[in-house]
Order: sequence, then C-alpha cells, then structure tokens
Amino acid sequence: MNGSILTVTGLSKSFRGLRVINGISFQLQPGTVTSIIGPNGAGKSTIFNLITGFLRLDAGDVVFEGSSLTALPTYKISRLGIARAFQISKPFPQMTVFDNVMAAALFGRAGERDPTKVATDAIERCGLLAVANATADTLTVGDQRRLELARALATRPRLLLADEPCAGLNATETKDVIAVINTLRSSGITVLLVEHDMKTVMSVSDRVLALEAGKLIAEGTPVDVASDPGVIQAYLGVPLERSYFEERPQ
Amino acid sequence: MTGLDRLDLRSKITGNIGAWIAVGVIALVVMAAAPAILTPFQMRVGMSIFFSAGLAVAWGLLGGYAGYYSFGHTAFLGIGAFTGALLSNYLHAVSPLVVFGLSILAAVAVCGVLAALIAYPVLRLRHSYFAIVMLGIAYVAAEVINNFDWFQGSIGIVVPQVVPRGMRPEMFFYYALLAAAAICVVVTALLVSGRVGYALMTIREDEDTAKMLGIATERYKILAFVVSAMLTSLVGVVYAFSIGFITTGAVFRTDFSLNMIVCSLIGGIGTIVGPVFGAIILTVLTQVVLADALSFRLATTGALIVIIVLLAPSGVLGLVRGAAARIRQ
Ligand SMILES: Nc1ncnc2c1ncn2[C@@H]1O[C@H](COP(=O)(O)OP(=O)(O)O)[C@@H](O)[C@H]1O
Ligand SMILES: [Mg+2]
Repeated sequence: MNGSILTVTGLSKSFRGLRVINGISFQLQPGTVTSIIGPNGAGKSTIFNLITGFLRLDAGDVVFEGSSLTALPTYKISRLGIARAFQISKPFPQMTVFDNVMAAALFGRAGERDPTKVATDAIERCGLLAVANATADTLTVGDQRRLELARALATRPRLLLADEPCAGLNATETKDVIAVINTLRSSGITVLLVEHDMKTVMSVSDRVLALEAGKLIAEGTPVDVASDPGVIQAYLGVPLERSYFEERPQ
Repeated sequence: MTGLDRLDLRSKITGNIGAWIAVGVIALVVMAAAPAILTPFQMRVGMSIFFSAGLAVAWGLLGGYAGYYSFGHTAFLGIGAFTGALLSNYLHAVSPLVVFGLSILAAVAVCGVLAALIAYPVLRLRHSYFAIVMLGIAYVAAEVINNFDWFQGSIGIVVPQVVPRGMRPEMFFYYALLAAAAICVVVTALLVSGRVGYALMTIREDEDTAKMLGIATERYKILAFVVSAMLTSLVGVVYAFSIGFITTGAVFRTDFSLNMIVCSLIGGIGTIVGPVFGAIILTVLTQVVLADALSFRLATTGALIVIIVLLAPSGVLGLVRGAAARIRQ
C-alpha cells in the first residue's frame, strides 16, 4: 500500500561477516500497532537500531513519511517524529522524572509546542504524576519503564518504536503499559512494538511480523501469523489456544 | 488527579531561577562594597576567590553540566594570558584601559577560535580519553609557547600596567577579577537555565539516549567547550595583567587545571553555586587557615579531594540539600 508511514525495503546488516538482518521488507500503516515477534537474537532490537540511525545499514532503505532515513543522524530522525523506548530503560538517572520528560518535550519532533504542557501530559498519561519530582534513579522497575515511555511520548512522535516495554513487569503493570499503547494508537500515533508475550501481542496488534534469524518468516494479522505453520514451528512451539484470538477487543 | 497536582509539577533545573538571581545580585553588591572595609590581605584573598571561582564555573559549564572533564583547561588560561600580554605590548600608544579591553577581547577571541578548531575531534572522545587528551593539549600549548622565541614564554614577558592613574592596583584588579568571575557566572547561568542546559545535562547523563530525543549532542558539546574555553581565557588574561609579568610556567599550571576540578567537586558538581562555594572553601582554607603552613597546601588540597569523594560525592551543596530534605520531612 502507498499510504504507509514507514517503508522498510531489503534491510540488511552484518556484524563481523555474520548476517543478522537479512533482506527484511515491511510497511507500517498510519495509526496501527504492529508487533515484531521472534526468539531472542532474531534481530528485533537491531531493526530498531537501524531505523533510528544507531547503526548504519549495509543494504536496503528505510523511508519515513516520504524521506529516506538511511543517511540521517539519530537526532534528525527524532526530529522527523520517530521516538524509541529502549529495551533496557535508560532514564537520565540524576534528573527528576519531570526533567527527564521535559528534556524530551523541549526537543523531539520539530514544530511549535508548549513544553511544560507536553511534559505534564506525557507524565499524566503514563501514570507518573505521583513520582514526578522524584529522581529517576530512585524509581521502581515498573516506573522506569513508564518513564521510558513518557519520555518517548514527550517527543511528540508520529511513530513510536517500543522495544519490549513490558519486560520484567508484573501482570498489572503490563496491563497499564498496554493501555498506554492503546491510547497512543487512538490518538493517531503509529506503534511498532517488540513483545514476547503472545497474549499481549494478540490483544494489542493490528499486524504481526514474525522474525527468525534475521528473516521475516510470516506477516499478517495476529490470527494469521499465530496459525502460520512456520511460526508455530520456529517460535511458538505449540499452536496457540483459540482463546487468545477471542480475547482481542474490537 | 486534581488541578493542584498539575501545578506542583516543576523543574528542579529551572524551578528556582528567580531566587538565584536575587542571591547573585545581593552577593555582587556585597562584594563590590566590601573593599571599603577589607584589609589588603583580605583583598588578596578576595581576588584569589574570584580567580578560582571564575575558573571553576567556566570549567563546570563543560565538566559539570556536559560531563566532559577537562584535565587541561589551564591551556586556555595560558593562551589567553599570552595573547593579552603579547598584544598589549604592541598597543602602548592608546590609553591603558583601551589596551586592557582590547587585550581581553583578543584573548577571548583567540581562545574561542582555537577551541572551536579542536572541539570536534577532541569531543569525539569520551570519559577519561577526553580528560587525558586535554591534559596533553595543555602540555603541547605550554611547550609551543615556551620554545618559540616570538612568544617569549621561557624568558617571560612584561605585561603593561593598565591601572588608571590614582587607583590602587589591588583595588583595580579586585574589581577586574570580580567582574571576570561575575561574567563567568552570568554567561554560564544564562546558558544552562534553558534548552541548552537540558541538552548538556542529558549529554552528561546518557549521550546516546539524548540523540534519540532529537538533541544535536555534537553541537551542544562544542558550544559548551568553546564558551568554557573563552571564559577560562577571560579569567586568564585578567590574571596576567594582575601579576604584571608572565612566563609559561606561571600560567600553564597543572595545579590550576586541578583546582578547577577540585572546587567543583568540593562545592557540588553540575551546579553554579557549587564551584563558587568550592572556591571560597578551598581558598580560605589554603590561604587563611593554612597561611603559615605553605608546604601543607598541596597536601590539604589532596586530602580534601579524598574526603569529598569518599564522604560527600555531591559536594558541600549535596550535603546542604540532603540536610534540608531531612529537616523538611
Ligand atoms: N552491536 C552489535 N555487534 C555485534 N553483534 C550484535 C550487535 N547487536 C546485535 N548483535 C547480534 O545480532 C543478533 C540480533 O540481536 P538483537 O537484534 O539484539 O536480537 P533481539 O532483539 O531479537 O533479541 C544477536 O546475535 C546479537 O548478538
Ligand atoms: Mg532485543
């Protein structure tokens, strides 16, 4: 489709001769949530590193809203409207929660804004009001994850890359994070999500990309991908129970 | 959540600017009036404090805010001093104050340009690599000035007298150093109290993450480096005029570089009042308390570093804040 917000074509990357990303192509439609699933080491985080300019790709192209990202430095990619929540939370430890988020609101996507309002909204949306004046290094793991998300949000992204935002969270905290992602989608932000828990993937995603050893082995709706024989073989091990499909809210 | 909760959201970085401006203005007025009652010895202590405070604040713009610890900032002090000294010897026709002003401008400009030229390559290095390279740069600059006769670094160079007729030299340089320190404080405060401050602090905290927030980290690092070098040279050139005769060894001094760091550490790194406090504490301790025990000064400085790093890693300011927080609870 041509209305896509992000188009990745033939993405490839090797580390010391070892091909970690092997000719991956996909598109993201605006306002959708797409999940990338795949075993550890499949190359999910590397895809994020390539999109955001942390790593330079060997071959292929990444086009965001009509402009190629492949030669741009990371900060310019952020200014175009791509934000990233890291797999390992990286809050600025000595700054308060508010100042962490404020830094993002002062920079981030180019354009007019009221930074204080943007920061306050992001903090509120991610449920961090109670700890807004705490120093980031005093936060619980769950709050650090939320801060990671709030900071990404405060850059006012058009596309959010969230790398395992629920890793290490308990069931309640996971639900909170997923709720935030759902509200992001409803406010028009496109989300590319890396998530391990299939139940979460099935409930939140519009589309799913299944990755194995640097290759896309399946792509489609959550139901399609979860019932794909190749995916079951490579990743899920056993077929998913029907209940996962039925839980998906419409 | 209630409306009150929302109003309570406040930046720890920019939240108290009004109060700090008031404190700064009061401090400046007090210090400007102080010579009326100070003894000559106390005036000299005051000058030492301004000198150390100006340098520490200038160093802290890069070291404290951006987290790039330079171990060789005396390079800019020395280059500034020599630029001013050399230029002023060509300018004797004009009035002394014009010589002084032009020499300062030239010194600051030369250091700004030199810093801008080396900024990009040296700031690609992080942590101890950057620190050590700056130490090397200071040695190289000192060697160059020492070995090329044109600079007169080894034989020394007389800096013309610029004190207006009728004014005591120590009075003049008290105010000159006070002004230099005040400029360091004001310029640094203006820079760090807005977007630039946030950018520098995120660089210190996590440079790669900062980039992902749309922050052009290279640009802000270079800005901090260049301004820090210019402010350091400002203090350096005023210092050169105040001592009247300089050699390489008198202005390229590793203990100057060290003092900038120590003052910041003692007072509280990553702030402006911290280095100022540090300069006061260190100067009073070494020049007043230990005035008669010259040989103990360096040992005291060393001991202070050890104590601070072990017991109060965020400096005196950190101790004060911690105590204040405990009282409030
Ligand atoms: N910077 C790097 N240098 C070398 N190898 C890397 C680097 N980043 C990732 N890899 C390797 O690439 C593979 C994919 O890693 P990653 O993208 O982190 O996987 P995932 O996020 O899917 O768990 C792994 O084998 C990993 O060891
Ligand atoms: Mg990963």
